[in-house]
Amino acid sequence: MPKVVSIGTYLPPWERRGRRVGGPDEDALTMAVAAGRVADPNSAARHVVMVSRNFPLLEGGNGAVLLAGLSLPDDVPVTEVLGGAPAVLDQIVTGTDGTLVIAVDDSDSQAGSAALLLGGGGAPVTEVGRVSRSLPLQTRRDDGSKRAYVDPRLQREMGVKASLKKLALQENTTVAAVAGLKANQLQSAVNVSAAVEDAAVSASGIIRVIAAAVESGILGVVLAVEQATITAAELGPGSVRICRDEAAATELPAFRTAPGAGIPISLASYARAFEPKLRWEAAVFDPRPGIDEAPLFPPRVRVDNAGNLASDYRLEPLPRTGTIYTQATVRIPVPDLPSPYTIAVIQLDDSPVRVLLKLTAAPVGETTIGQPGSVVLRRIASRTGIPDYGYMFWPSKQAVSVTKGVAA
Amino acid sequence: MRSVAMVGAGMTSFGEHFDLGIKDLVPMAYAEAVSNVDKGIDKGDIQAAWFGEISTTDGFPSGILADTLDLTGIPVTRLENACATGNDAIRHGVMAVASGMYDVVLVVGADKVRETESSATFWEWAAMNRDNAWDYPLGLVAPANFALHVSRYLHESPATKEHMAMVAVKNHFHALNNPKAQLRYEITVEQALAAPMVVDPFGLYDCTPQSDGAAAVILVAEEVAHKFTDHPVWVRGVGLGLDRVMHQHKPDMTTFPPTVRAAEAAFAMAGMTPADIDVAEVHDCFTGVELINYEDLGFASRFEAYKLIEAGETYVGGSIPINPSGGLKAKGHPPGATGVAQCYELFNQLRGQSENQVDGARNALAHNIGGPTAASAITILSVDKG
Repeated sequence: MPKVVSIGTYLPPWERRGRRVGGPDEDALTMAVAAGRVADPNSAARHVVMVSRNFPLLEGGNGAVLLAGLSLPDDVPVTEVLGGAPAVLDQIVTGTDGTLVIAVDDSDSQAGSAALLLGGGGAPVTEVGRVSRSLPLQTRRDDGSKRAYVDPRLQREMGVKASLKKLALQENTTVAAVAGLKANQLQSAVNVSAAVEDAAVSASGIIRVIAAAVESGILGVVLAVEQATITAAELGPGSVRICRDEAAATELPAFRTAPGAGIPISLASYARAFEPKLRWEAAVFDPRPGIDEAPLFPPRVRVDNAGNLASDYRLEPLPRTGTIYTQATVRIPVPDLPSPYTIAVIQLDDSPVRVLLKLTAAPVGETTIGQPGSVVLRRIASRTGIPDYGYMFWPSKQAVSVTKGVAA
Repeated sequence: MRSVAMVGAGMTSFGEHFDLGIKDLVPMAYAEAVSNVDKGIDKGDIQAAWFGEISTTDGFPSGILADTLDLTGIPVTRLENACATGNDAIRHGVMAVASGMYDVVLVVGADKVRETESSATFWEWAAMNRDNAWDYPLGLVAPANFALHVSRYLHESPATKEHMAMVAVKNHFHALNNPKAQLRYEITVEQALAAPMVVDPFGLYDCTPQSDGAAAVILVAEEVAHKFTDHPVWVRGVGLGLDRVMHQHKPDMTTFPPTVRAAEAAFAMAGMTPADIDVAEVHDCFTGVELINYEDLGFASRFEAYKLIEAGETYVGGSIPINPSGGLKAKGHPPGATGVAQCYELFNQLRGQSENQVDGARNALAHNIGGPTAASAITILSVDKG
C-alpha cells in the first residue's frame, strides 16, 4: 500500500486585499511545478497527477511543460484531473508508488498549490468512502461563464450533511482534517475536536491539512468536501517530509497590459527551443580546435576550425541560483506585456553561464546589481494566446523550509 | 586599392513623415545629394547603388530604389546590418569603387519607423533583432537593449545620470541650428533628470525619437573625382565589427566590442589614430551609449568619458566635438538612414559648410552601433586624400 512520503506546498509571494494572488507571470502550471519540485526534489516520481479547475490549456497540453519543469523524463505519464478537494483525495488513495499528486488553485478566490508524493515508508492514507451527489450551487461552464446559487443553508443541509449521512461514518469517528468546510459544521455527526481545517473551497487545501495533521501528530479521518461531494480517507501513522515554499506575501504591485496586436510566435522555433529552455540545460562539447568545453546556453550546433559540423553535444543541467550582473527596468507600457518589468543578465552560481531573464516576485525597481536569487519557472508571455513558458529570476528568494512530520 | 571620394551628400529632414512614404523620401535625398555635387552629375553616370534599409514598409527595397530613381539599368543591392546599416552601406560602396569595379556609385539609406500602428512597432522591429524563442518574448525593447549595458557601465565607472543628462543637453543644443533635426529645442540637465523614466536608467530625454527619413551620398574613384568637384571629401577608412548577439554571451557589458573592432579596422585603413579626428558623429541612440562610445573609439580612457562631457570638450568649440548635427538624440534616427546622414553632416563639416561648423576640421569619423549591440560600422572621412 503506497504511503505519503513527502508533501510540498507553494504560495505565490503576492497578496491583494489580504488574499494570496498569483503574479501576472504565474498560472496553475507554474504553481504546480513550484509545489511539485519541493515535494519531489530528487525527481523520483513515476506518475504525475495534476488536479485543478484552472488548467491553462484545455487543449494543447500542459503535461510536457509540467514534466520539464519537474525535471522528470518525458515518458512519465501525466494525468490531468479536473476537480477539487475530493478529486485530489481520490487520486491520493488510489495512487501507486511513485505517484506525485499535485493540486493547484488559480482562481479569484484561491492561488496556491500543494503536492504529495506516494512511496514506501511514509504515512498511509487509505480510502474510507466517498459520496458524489449533485447540488451545483457554484457552476462554471466551458466558456468560462459562472453562476452562483446563493443559499448557504441549503448547501449545509442538502449538501454536506446529507452526503455525510450517506457516507455513514461511525458516530464519534475522529476527524483529523477537513478541507472545503468549517469543521464545526460536522460537529453533531463526528468528533472534530482536534481536526485541522481549511474551509476554503480549493484543490490544494486537502494536501495542506494532511500536512498540518501530520505535523501535529493527529491521526484519524480526512474529509475532502466540495459542494455535495465528499471523499473520506484514514490518515495513519508514519513519517512524512514536509517542505513549504511559502514566502511572506507583499501587496501585488500595480501593473497594466497595454493593448497590442498580440506577440507573434513561431511554434517551430518554440519546439526547437523547448527542451533546453524548459529543462534548463546547456550544451557541453568535447573540446577540439575552435570549440571549447564551456557550457553553451542556449545549445546550438557548432562548426570547428576544420569545418566539421559538431552536433554531438551532451546536455547538462544548469545551476538554479545566481546573481544580477546588470538589469534594466522597462517603465513604459509595452503592448501585450504586463508592465513595468525588469530584465536582467544573471550570472549563474559556480558556472561560466550567464542568462538573460525577466525578474519575478520582486517589486520593480527595488533590485540591485549583485543581488542573489533563484531561477523559477514562469509564463514568460502569452503569445497570440499560446502560453510561452521559461525561467525567470526571483531575487533574494528565501530557501524553502523542510520539516519532518510524524503522524503517530 | 583606389582612393574613394565623396562628391555629393544630401538628406531629408528627419521626423514623423506621415505624409511621405519611402518612395518619396528616397528621391528627395538623392536630389539633394546631387544638388550638392559642385559640378553636377547626370543620373547616367551612376553605375551601381546600395540601399541601406532595415525594415521595408512598401515592399522590395532594392526595387524601390531602382524604381523610384528610374535606375533599373544598374545593379542595386539592399543592405541590412541592424543600426550599423548606414555606414556599412557606405563601406560597400567604397569597396566597390576602391576595387576598380565601378567609378561612380550611389549609397542611399532610409527607413520609416512611424509607418505602422505604434502599438505594433516594438514587436515588429524586435523580430528583426531578437531570437524568437529566447529573447523575443522577454520584451527587450530597444532602450532596454542598451540599458543593460549602461546600467553596468554606471555601476563600474564614475559616470552618473547627470553625465548622461549633459550629453542630452549638448546634443539638443547642437540640433538647434540644424534645420534637418527632429528635436530642435534646448533642454536643461534638470529637465533631463526630471523627465519620465522610459527604461532605467534612461529618462525620456536620454532617448532618441522615432523617426522617418532618408540620406544619400555619391562616391567616386579618384580618377574621376575632378569631373564632379574640386573639393572632394576622401573616404580614408571603413570598418565593420560584430559581436555575440545575445547579451548573456557578452562578457564585459561596459564596452561595445563591435565598435572597438570596427574602429581598429577603420583607423588602420586610414593610417590615423583617434587623436587625428577633429569631429565625430557617433551613435547616441541613448545618452549613456555616447559615453561608452567615447571610450570605445579612443577619445577617452576607460571609464573617463564623464570627464569629456563634464569639461564641455565634446561641444562644437571643444577639443573633440561630438554630434554637431544633434546626433541621433536630437536630429533623429531612421535607422537605415542614420549612418549615411552622419556622413552628410561630416561631408559638410569637411567642406566648411555645416550649420555648426568645427573650425579647421580636416578629419572626421562616423559611427553606428546597433542591433542587439552586435554590429558597428565606422567611416573615416578627410579633407586629405592621404
